Amino acid sequence: METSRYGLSDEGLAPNAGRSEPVEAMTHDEFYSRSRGILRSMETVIDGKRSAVEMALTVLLAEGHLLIEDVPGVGKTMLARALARSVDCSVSRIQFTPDLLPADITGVSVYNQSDRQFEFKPGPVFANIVIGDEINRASPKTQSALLESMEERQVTVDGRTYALATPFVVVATQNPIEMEGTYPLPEAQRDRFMARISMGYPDSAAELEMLRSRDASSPLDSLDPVVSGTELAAMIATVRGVFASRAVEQYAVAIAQATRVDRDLRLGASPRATLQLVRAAKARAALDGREFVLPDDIDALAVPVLGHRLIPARRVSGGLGGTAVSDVISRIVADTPVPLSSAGPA
Amino acid sequence: MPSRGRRAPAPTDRGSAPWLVSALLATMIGLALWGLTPVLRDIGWWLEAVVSGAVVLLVAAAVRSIALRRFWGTIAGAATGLAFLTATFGDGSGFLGVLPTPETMAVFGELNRAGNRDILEQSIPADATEGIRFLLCVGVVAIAIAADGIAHLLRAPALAGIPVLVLLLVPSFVRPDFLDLPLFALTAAAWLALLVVHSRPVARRTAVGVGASAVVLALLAPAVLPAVQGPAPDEGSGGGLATGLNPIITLGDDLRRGNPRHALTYRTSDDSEQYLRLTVLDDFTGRSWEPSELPEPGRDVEQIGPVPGLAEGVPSTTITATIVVGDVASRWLPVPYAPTSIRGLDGAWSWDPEGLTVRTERSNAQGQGYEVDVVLPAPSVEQLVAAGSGPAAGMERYLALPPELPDSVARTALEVTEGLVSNYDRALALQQFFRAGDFTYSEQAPVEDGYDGSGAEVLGAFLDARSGYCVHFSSAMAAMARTLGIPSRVVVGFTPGSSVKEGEDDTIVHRVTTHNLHAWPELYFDGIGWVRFEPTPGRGTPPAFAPLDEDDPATPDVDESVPPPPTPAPTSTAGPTGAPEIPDDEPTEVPDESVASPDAPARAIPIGAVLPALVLALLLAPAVLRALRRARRLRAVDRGSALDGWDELRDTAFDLGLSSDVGLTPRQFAESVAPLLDDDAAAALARLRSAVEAHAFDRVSTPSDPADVSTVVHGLRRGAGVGRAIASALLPRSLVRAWLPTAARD
Repeated sequence: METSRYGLSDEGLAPNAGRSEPVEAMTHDEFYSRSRGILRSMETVIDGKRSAVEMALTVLLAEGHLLIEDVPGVGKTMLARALARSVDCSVSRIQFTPDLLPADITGVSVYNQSDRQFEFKPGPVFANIVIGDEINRASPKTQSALLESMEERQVTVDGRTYALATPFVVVATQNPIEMEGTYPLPEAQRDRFMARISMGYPDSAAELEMLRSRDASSPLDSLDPVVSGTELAAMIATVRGVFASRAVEQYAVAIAQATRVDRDLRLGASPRATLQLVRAAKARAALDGREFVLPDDIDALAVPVLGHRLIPARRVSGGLGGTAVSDVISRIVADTPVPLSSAGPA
Repeated sequence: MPSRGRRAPAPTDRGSAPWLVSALLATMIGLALWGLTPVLRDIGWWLEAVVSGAVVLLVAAAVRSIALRRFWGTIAGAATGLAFLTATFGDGSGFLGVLPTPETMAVFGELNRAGNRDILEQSIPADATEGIRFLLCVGVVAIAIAADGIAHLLRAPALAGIPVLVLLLVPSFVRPDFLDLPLFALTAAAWLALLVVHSRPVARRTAVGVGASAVVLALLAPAVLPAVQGPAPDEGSGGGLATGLNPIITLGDDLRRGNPRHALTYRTSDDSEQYLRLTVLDDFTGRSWEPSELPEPGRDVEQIGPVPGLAEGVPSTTITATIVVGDVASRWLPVPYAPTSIRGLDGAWSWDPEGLTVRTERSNAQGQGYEVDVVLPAPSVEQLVAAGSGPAAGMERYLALPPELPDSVARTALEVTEGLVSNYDRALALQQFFRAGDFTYSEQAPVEDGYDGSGAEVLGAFLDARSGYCVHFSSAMAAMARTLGIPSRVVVGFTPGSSVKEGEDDTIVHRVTTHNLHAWPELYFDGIGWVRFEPTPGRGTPPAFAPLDEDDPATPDVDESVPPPPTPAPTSTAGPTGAPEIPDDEPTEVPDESVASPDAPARAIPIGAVLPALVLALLLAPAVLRALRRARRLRAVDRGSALDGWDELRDTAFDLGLSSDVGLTPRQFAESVAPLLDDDAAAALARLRSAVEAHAFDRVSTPSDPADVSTVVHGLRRGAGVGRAIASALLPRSLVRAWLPTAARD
């Protein structure tokens, strides 16, 4: 067992651990200009995918993990890498394959002949942004190694616990489960991702533009970091400070509870989902230049944040599973009264 | 990121519910119509009316189930209603029998007049004549269309009960004791079922709870608040004549009422007492005495005359009476006989040259003060005797008798007048026959026997029982006079009342109460005209020029209803015969079981004014409530509540049929209505939106401006169009929003 939930930790810390350092939040104006910068930078690479780009940034700033699900070749990895390139921080990339082992992700202890003791060689998970390509092609055992570190934000190897970097974001891509040679993520694992988005095909103009610009060189090469790792940490702190009123919280809870009793859903949203919904909403509010969350943020994020966690009832899933679930969520969101005061629905 | 789209179709069972709603509406109409059974005879009319309502609802539901837009259903229902009316009442005038033509409209107009007339003239229960059935079917068709429209177009089935409620209330307007509680409960149950069918599952319990409470309250209110029922009997019979209904129908009720109401006071220039006439009933149909024609409008009451039948040689005196009517409502003006000129009246009044009665269509006698010049014919007995013995020429209509008149009436008349020659002597004999003592005055006995009326069969029963009140006496004497060839008619009015000295100069003022309401016969004598007789024992005074035998027990009678005589009818014991049988007819001491709440401090309100006012108030009530709510919210906005302003906007949009679902965030709502607004209003809306967002979701809040709310409200109305704006002002759906089914709320 490479990871142990109950492993004791003495002094072992990851090389670039900075989680204990207090980070000053930046002002909202500054936040706004920085975030615009990141978005502009990413959009030079990802054409015509504004919402996907914004969603990726939202998840990054809300300290969540992002699952990008789509058919091969639509730019999933490109999006993840563009996000990583725009921020000056450590990035690692794991290409998941059926023969990938858990230790290939977390790292291994190797015996150092000269020191005569075991030395921990951190795996690719020790980075600020971890890109997990085609995560559903790895065996469940390996998947769970990554997923556990995502939740715990630490790795335990040989009885020693190593904290992961801060910020720590996993951007995983996944092919739709219908494709060959994949191990679909179990529901419990999907719950670890804050949001799932799909890229969708570009429209014809964007695709033409891509042909022209990608002809010579990879556009990623020309991408320079817009914010530093410290600034990113400050931005995350800013997001934490965004105000979510009691009314908005009630709204999020009402939506989550509605998914649990809906006839069209077999599995509703978990409390973790509610938590992440509000967190993501804070990030979206900050990206929109607001210091408080609106129910519109909740509305806009309900499908990406809840969609991959809910399981449709059998009769609904007959068609396209994903579409059916997002339809159900849209209906629930539309039906849930928006409270305008903390006393209850207006 | 998918944005919120339009609401997915609500998962309600749209297939069967509309049919069920229509079926329940038809049931409600049928039940409510049943409430009219005490008012109309037979039940053919019921079947017809139910069919007319059901056909409308059925066709509307059928068309709605196949049409793209639901309003086609209501339109088809309305067309069907018209076709049904044309086919049933059009008398073949319709094109292909069902399409109304101008000729059909003429037929309908005629039926409308006939129906109104039949309603006016019949007693209860009335025959369902074609005119009445026509009016009933028109009403039911209109109610069905209204209910269908409210239930399906406004999608507010809770309100659809209101038109049907109107139907349910009709009988209680006619007579308050006709409100049939079990029937009311049944109709209410159908209405509750309607609420259940059409409510969201979540709101169902609330809707039914509220509805049931309302029904229970409505049922309990009359019991808990007895005064509520009080005015009702008076509305129909204030002055006996409030609606223009045949006064004789309600005369008994008025006389039996426990507490008399002040009716009027009058002064005469010679201090004499005068009978005051209201109306003349000359058409003896067999069921009742009825007025054969109403005064045509347009005759100037300052110039009344000539007095019918009065010849030159008959002496007469002229006096002036000053009359002030109290709180009794009447379309008939109380005047002495024979008026020649009336001054000081408000409103348009007219008079009838035959009866010299004075009537208004729109105005009211209530509270009026006026002066009447009166000619009092004073024929000598010789002149009366000389008037002849045969039937007068040209007076056939005053001699007509219904075929069902019992033989005993004519036989009794012949027996009573045996050996007498002149009409006058025979008339005196008839009067004496009634007053001489065999007959007793009773306001109660006839009712218990079920002959509270003046119909032909009632007369037979009255002659056997020898007990009744003025209606029976006057109609019996008039009918008997007719059998003898003496033209006669029945007059309804007031006995002279009590005299009081008033003021510094001790002017004699006569006070008349509702207990002075009276009916008496007038008989016609050639060359003299109409002469009043007084056959009712213990009531009124026989005319001076018709002297009675010395031993007539009732001669010294003055009006006995004078309130309040310390000793019961002191003069009635003076007569040597018959007096003990004459009951004390001081009405306050008559045990009174037929009137629900006699002691209500009733104020007569003419039902003709109350009903339209009530309907108007009902129609305007939603608009007023809505305006009040808006004003309250604007004040709240002024005090700093952004939420109230926002609620107002959302309700306005909802009233206008715009999207205003509670599931919409302020931003989404603003976006959905913004296209309707001009720049100013859009800017105001943006300010309001920020204010409400800050209030609800931020730590700091900013006030919003009531002027902005008004700007946006007006902008929304302009944007929605005039028609919708007016409809929304009259029927603001937001008042019943909580009761509406989900599908109707977006």
